[in-house]
Amino acid sequence: MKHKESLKKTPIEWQPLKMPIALFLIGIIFAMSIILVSDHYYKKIQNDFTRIESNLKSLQKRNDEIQKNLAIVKTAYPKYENLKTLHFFDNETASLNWVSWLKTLQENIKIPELNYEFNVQQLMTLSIFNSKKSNSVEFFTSEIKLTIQIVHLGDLFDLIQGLSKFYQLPLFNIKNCDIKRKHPADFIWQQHPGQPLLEAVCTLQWYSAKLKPQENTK
Amino acid sequence: MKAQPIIYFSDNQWIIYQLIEKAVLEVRRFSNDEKGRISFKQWLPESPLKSWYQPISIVVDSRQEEYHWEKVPHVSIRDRQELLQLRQRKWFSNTPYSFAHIQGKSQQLETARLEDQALCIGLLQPDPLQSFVQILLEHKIVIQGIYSLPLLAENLLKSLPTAKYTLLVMHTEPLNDSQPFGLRQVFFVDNKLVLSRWIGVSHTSTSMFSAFLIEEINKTRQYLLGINALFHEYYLNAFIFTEYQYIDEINEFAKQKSFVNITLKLYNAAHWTFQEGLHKSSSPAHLYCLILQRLKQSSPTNHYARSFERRYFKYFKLRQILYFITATFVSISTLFTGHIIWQMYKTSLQTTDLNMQFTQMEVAYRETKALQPEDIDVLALKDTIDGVDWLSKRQRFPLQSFNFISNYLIDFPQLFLEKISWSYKEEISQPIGGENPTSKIQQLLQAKRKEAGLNESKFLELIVLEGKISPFDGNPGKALETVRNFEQHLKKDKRIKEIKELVLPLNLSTINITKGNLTHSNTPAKEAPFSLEITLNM
Repeated sequence: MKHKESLKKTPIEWQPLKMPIALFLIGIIFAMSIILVSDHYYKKIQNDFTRIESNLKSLQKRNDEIQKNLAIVKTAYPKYENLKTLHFFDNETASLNWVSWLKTLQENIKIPELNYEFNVQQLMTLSIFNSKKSNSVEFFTSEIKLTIQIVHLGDLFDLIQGLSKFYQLPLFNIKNCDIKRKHPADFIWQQHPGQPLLEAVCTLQWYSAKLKPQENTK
Repeated sequence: MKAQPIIYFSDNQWIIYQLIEKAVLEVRRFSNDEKGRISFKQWLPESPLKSWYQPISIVVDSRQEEYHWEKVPHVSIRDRQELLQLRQRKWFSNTPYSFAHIQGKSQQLETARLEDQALCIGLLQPDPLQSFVQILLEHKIVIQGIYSLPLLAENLLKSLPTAKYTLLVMHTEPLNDSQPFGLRQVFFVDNKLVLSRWIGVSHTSTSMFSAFLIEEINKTRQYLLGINALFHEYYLNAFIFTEYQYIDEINEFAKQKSFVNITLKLYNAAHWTFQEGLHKSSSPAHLYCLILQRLKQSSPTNHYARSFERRYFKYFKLRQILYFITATFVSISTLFTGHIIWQMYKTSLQTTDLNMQFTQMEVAYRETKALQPEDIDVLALKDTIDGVDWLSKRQRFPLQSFNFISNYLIDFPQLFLEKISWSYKEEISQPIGGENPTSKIQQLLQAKRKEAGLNESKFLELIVLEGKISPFDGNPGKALETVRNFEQHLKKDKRIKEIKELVLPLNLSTINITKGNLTHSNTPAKEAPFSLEITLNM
């Protein structure tokens, strides 16, 4: 009984435990602090590394892309410059040039009569761009119907060749061409000199393009 | 090596020992009375005991210690503690210092009932020890345990020859001037303590020590027989540890006298303890010193110390655990931090390297970018050129076809053309798997076809010739032959893909009815028209 009483009455003596508990707490705080601080800085450095690595990868990608673009530019830009010179992107000027050149050719080839008819311009879809969600250039087609009175077929040939020469880049196309004899078989041309013998109706398609507003990719 | 303190506590005195390597050295001795307690109290604050600040073991060597060696029913481990406590309360209800433990298991042959051999020991007069412990606690001395010296003596048996019944006889510390030493007889069965006797030896007894010793051993034997701890038919193996000067005397005496079932084995205590690894001990209690040394080596279960008396030991252990945990935490965290710092260093080096690469690449990038045109986006540029190329490939002129036909018509002047129409059509080859091939095989095949140029569109030019036979002699058969000849002539050319006869000189038609007059069959036809659609593969 005495023993039990003594045991119950004995309070915990903190004196001998103060120092180890204090050291323990300081140790824990110190340990946690250095772990947390070092971990914090490690994460920071790791984040910096990851960021720079990601930036470098991105730059590498952009660099590869720009190198590819440069290769494209080297081959394509001179052609583009030429197209610009030929007013490929300026529909109005191009149509004026067409009229002017047709007139010149008529005079040069001595075509008795040449009538033209410009149809409305239409947006065209090129099948090579079908798979692309959007392309940065729009192509247009315009039709010119030419009704030509000629003495012989060679005049028509001269006219077509003349058109090709005018337009350095072959950006027009002949869609169809009908040539009709104007007189019966027994018609004697020598009795009616200067009269056209043939009438040709040809439909030409000529192309132009319009650049979509440039996105700032730089 | 750090000195380890041990207190020897007997009815007459207490002795402070310190264990240093292979020596048990006496530090101070106090008489077990009021005078001794006062001087101990005065000595203690300045004593090395406090400065050592390490656990102290108290070994009790008392004549007041009582032994109850008995069989108890074999019970489960859970109930065993309660059973032992009951035994302690039965035998030692008036003392706080008692101890009971199970020594082993035995079986009664008659009943086949399992029984355990238990030993219950206690101090009948606890007050001197209690007051001594109180002094230690007042000074916050860490008490690891209070041990019974006879029970600790079990540790010595492993160094002695094995025997069923063993009696260990050894000298105690000197008691006073009239008693230079005492004799401690400890009896074991199967190397387990049964009881112990303490006998004082006077100067008179020392003169006839051999006779006195043998008589006391005989007395012990008789007592053991009396309590059925030993049986007549068994030998009692007495191991006597004594001083060098008594050995010859005892041997002489033993030769003269015959013993009944007692085997005597004599040992020079000082020599034997030296052999056992205790190189320095105080005479004559060499074996006591060996027991103290082995106590520190083995750290046995506490026998007598109560929980509150061992509280400083608990604090001591707790302090040790706290220090250990703290040291472990700090060490691990330091190692971890060191590792992290090393990783940080390596990462920093890599970052610097990447930074340099980035700077170099950025310069190259800017230089390349400066070469890009400003007026057009590269994508638009590519699309424009691709589009123009695509259109260029589709460019068609009639000149070649007209020349082709003209060359053939020269050989057929009868064919008078009234109209010639030219157009073209694009024949697109059907890709494998449609426009969007799904399977990999289809994609592969399509790629192969594209490589071989099989996917390219083909342009077919169409020429429609309308005319008539001129001059016409009225013979439609001949006219037809002329047209067919022309067709055959054309078909020889590989560029001709197909010729369709739209209108022939007989003018048979799927729409119009063809009529004739057989009566006037000689009437000639007026005209022989024809119309052919020629498909050219130019």
